[in-house]
Amino acid sequence: MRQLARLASASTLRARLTRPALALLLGALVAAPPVGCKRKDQPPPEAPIDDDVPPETEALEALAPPWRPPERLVLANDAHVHWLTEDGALALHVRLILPTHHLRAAPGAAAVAAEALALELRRLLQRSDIEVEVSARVDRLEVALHGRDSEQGAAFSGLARALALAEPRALLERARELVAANLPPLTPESFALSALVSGLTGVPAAAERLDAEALRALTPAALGAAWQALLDPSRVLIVVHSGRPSDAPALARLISAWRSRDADQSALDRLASALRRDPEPGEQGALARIRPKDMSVGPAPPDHLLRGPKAAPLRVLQAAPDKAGGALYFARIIPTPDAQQRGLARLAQRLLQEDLDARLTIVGDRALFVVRLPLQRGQGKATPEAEEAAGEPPEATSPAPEAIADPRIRRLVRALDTYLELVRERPNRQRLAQAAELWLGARMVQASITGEDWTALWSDALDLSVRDSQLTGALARDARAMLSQSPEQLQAWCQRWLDFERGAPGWAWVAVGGDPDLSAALRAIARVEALDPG
Amino acid sequence: MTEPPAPPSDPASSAQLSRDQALDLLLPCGLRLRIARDATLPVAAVILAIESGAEDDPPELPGLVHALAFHALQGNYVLRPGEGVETVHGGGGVATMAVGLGQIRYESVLPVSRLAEVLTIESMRLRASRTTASAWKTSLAWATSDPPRASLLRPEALAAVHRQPALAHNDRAVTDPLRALNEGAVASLMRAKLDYARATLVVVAPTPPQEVLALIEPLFADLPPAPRRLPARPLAAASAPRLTPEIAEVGPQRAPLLAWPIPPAPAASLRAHAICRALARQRRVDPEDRRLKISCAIDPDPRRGAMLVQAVGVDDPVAAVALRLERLRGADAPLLNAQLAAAADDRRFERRTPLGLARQLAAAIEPDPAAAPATTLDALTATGELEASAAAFPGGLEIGEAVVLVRPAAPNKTRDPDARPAGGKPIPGAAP
Repeated sequence: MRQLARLASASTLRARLTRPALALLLGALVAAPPVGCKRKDQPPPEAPIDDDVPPETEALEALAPPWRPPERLVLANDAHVHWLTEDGALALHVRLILPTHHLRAAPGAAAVAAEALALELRRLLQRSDIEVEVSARVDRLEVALHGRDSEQGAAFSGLARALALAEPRALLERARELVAANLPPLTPESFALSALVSGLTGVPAAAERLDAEALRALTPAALGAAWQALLDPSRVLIVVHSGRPSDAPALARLISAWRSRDADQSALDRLASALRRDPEPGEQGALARIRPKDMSVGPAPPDHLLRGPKAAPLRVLQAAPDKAGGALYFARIIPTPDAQQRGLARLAQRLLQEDLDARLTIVGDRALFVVRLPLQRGQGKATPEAEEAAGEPPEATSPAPEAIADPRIRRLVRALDTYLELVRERPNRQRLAQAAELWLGARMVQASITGEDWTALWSDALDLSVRDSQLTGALARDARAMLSQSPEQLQAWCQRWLDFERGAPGWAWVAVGGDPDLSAALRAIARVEALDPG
Repeated sequence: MTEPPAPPSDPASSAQLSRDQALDLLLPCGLRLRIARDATLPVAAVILAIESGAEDDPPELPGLVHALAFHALQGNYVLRPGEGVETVHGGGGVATMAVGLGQIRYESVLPVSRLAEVLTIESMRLRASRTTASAWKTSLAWATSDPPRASLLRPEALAAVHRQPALAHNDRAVTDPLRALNEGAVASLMRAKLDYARATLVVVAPTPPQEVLALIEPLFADLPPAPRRLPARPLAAASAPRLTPEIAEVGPQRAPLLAWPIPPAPAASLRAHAICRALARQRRVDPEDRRLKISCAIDPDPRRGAMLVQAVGVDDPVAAVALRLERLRGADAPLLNAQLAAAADDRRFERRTPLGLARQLAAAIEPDPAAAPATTLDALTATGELEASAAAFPGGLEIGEAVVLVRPAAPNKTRDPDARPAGGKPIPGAAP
C-alpha cells in the first residue's frame, strides 16, 4: 500500500438535563433491576446543566462528536467519573486524567508514577486485548486503556488492582529506568524554550524540563510520594467511552480498592461501595481539580513589546557550537475567555502556520502562543540562494534590515517583518474557511483513524472549557466559532494580540545558538541579556 | 463473470436501516454500491475498489495495472491532476491508494463536510483520463518511486500457490514496453482495466445511507447502461485430487513453507485466520517431536490471499502439519470453532471505524444473483453464519491442497537422507 500523503495537523439547543445529587448505596444499585442506574421511579435528576449541547445532526455538521452529556459520577473515594455512552459501541476507552500541577516540586516524579501505573496495568491486563497508553498534556498526565467493551470487567478489575498499590517501590524503580532511558536529550533549544515559557506562566522552568540525571536523583521516598499524590482519587478524573451505561459493580470494585490517600479509612470502609450522581451544588467539579488554582498570568512584564522603547530584553543562551544554527523564540499569553476568542486564536495560528512555525496551546481561558524563527549559522556566510530564500525585503520597520551588516541578523529582521506583515494583513474569507475546515476536519479524521476514542476528544474538550457545564458542547462550540469568524474580526484580533510592535504588551523572547558572537550580533536589534544555562 | 444490470433498489424501500445493515445495490452503469452508517464521529470513508490487479497485466506489459492505477490520479476533462487527493487533504482528510494482485483501492477518510465533493470526484475518476504523453510519463515516474508490494511471497511463489502463471512477474516494474505506449493505447487500456463496471464504490458515513444514495445516483446517471464486467478469478485446483501436496522449488527459505491459496471471499479468509489461530494454540500430543514448532501467517491480499504454515524442528514438516490439520478436523474441532468465533469477533471489532468497515465491504464478494441480497454487515463480511466458512475454504484443512515451497536444489548436490531436520526461523509475522 502506498500512502500518497497525509495531512494532519476536531443551532444551538440548550439541553437542560437535571439529575439528583443523591448518594446511592451500591447495594441498592446492584439489587435494583437492570435499569438500576436509571430508575424510572426516581424523580428526574437535577444539577449540572450542560451549556449549548447540539443535537447529533448539528454536532456532525459542526465537525464535532455527537455525544450526549456524560453520566457524571462522584465515587465514595472522591474520584470523579465522566461516563460517555455510545449505544452499541464495540470499543472501550478508559482515560485517567492525572493532574500534575501539585507535583511541580519534583519534576519527573509524576512521569515516573504514571509510567509505573502503565507498567502495572500492562502486566495485569496482558491476557486481554487491552492496550495501555501514557500521554502528557499541559499540567496533567493521562493513562488510557483501549480495548473491547466486552472486556470492561477485566479493565476495571485491572485498574482496581493497580490503583490499590500503596507504594510499589520496585515498580517505581523500573518505571524510573524506563522513563530515563527513553528521554530525549535536553537540547539548548528546549532549555531556552522552557525558560521563555516559565517567564510567561510563572511555572518554574525546572518543572518544565525532564532529564535523566534529575530523574535518577529522585529518592525512593520522593517517587513514593509522587505515586500517592498523583493517584489520589480526590484529584483524579476518569473518563470512560463505552457501549453501555456506567457499570456499578465495576465501579464498586474500583472504590473498594482505591482509597483516598489521606481519607478516614473506617469512614471509607462504610462507604466503600457508594457513589453519587453529579457533584453537589458548590462542590468542586472536574475542571477545578485539573486546573491549578494559581493559574494566573505569570510574571511577564505587562508592558513589554518586542520593538520600540518598551521592548523586552532578549535573553540569549550561548550554546555549545554545533551544526544547527539555533533559533529565536518569541511568545506571549493570550486571554481566551470564550469560544470566540479561542476560535480567533486558533485561526490566526493556523494561518501563520502556513508560512512559519507558530504554536498555540489553549488551556481554558488562556493560551500560550509561541513563534520559532530559525537562526542561520556563520557570520558573513550568506549565500545568494539563502538571500533569495529570505525573500524581498518587506516594508522597512525599525531597525531597517539594510542597515544591518550581519547577514544572519538581517535575515532575522526580515523574518520578523514578514511575521508582522502576516499579522497585520486582512486574510480573505475563503482562506479563513479553508484553514478552519482543515483544522477541524483533521482533528476528527485523526480521531477516527486512531480508533474513535471519545475520551481523547473529551480531553481536548477539557482544554476548551472553563466550566464543567461547557464540556459536552465544547468541541461543537469551538468549531462553530472558528467557522463563523470574519476577516475583519480576525485582523483586529491579530493586530491586538499578535502584533509585537503596536499591539497589546506582554511579550517575551529568547534566542539560542552556537555561534560565539551571537549575543554581540543580536545587540543590533535588541537589548540582550544572558540566559543562565544552569 | 457478467451479470445483467439490475435496477437500483428503491431507497424508500430500504428506509430505517439499522447500524448493522448496509445498502448493497448495482447501478445501471455496472457499478456496485455499498453504503453503511457509522455515526460515532463526523467522518466518512470512501473506497473505490476496482477488480483489476497484477494478475491482469498482459504478459508483454508487466506492471501495467500498477501504472494505470497511478494514471487515474492524473485527472481528466473535469478533474485537475491530483484534485482528488487535494480535496481530501484540504478538509484535513487522508487519501491512500492500494494496488493488489486482484484489486485496486482508492481510499479516503474525510470529514463528512467534504463527502459530496469526494463522491463527485469518485464519479469522475475513471472517465476519459488525460492521456497526453507527459501525463503518462509522470504516471510512470510515480509508479517507479512506489515501494515494492508488501507480501510474504515472491511472485514465482505466488504463481505456484495460486496456480496462476500470470502472477509470476514483478507487478511494480516499469519497463520499456510500458514507456513505449502511445496515447491511444493508454486510453484504450485505461478503459479496459479501470472501468466502473468492474468497480465497487463503498461509502461509510454518519449520514443515513438513503441520503448518501440520493447523493450518488445522479452522479452516475449519465453513464450508459452496462453489464457488470468482473474478471473471472477461479481458484485453480490441483490437476487431480491429491493426498500429498505439490512441491514447488521457488522459495528462498530453508524450511519448507506450506501454502494454501485462499479463495477471494471474506468467509474464506475468516476461515484461514481461524485455522491459523487454532494451529498456534494446539497442544503437542504424543508422538509429536518436542522440538516441533508450528507457525502460521496470512498473506492478506483480498483477492489472492494465501495461508502459510511452517513446521520447524522435525524431520518431516509436511507430515507434522498434516497431523495437526487432521486433529483440527477431529478432536480439535471445538478449538477451531472457538477460533472461528474469535476471528469473527476480531473482524467485527476492526470494523468499528469507518475505514475498517469500508475495507471489509470492499473485500466482500459479488452476490449471487439468484440469492436474496445481503443487507446485514454480518452477511456481507462473513461474520454471521460461521459454519458456512467451511464451504468457502474447503481445502484449508486438506494437506493435499497445499503447495510446498522449497528452496531450489543446488546443482550437482544430492540430498542427504540423513541430513539434519529442516530448520530455519519461523516465517515473519507468524503468530496470529
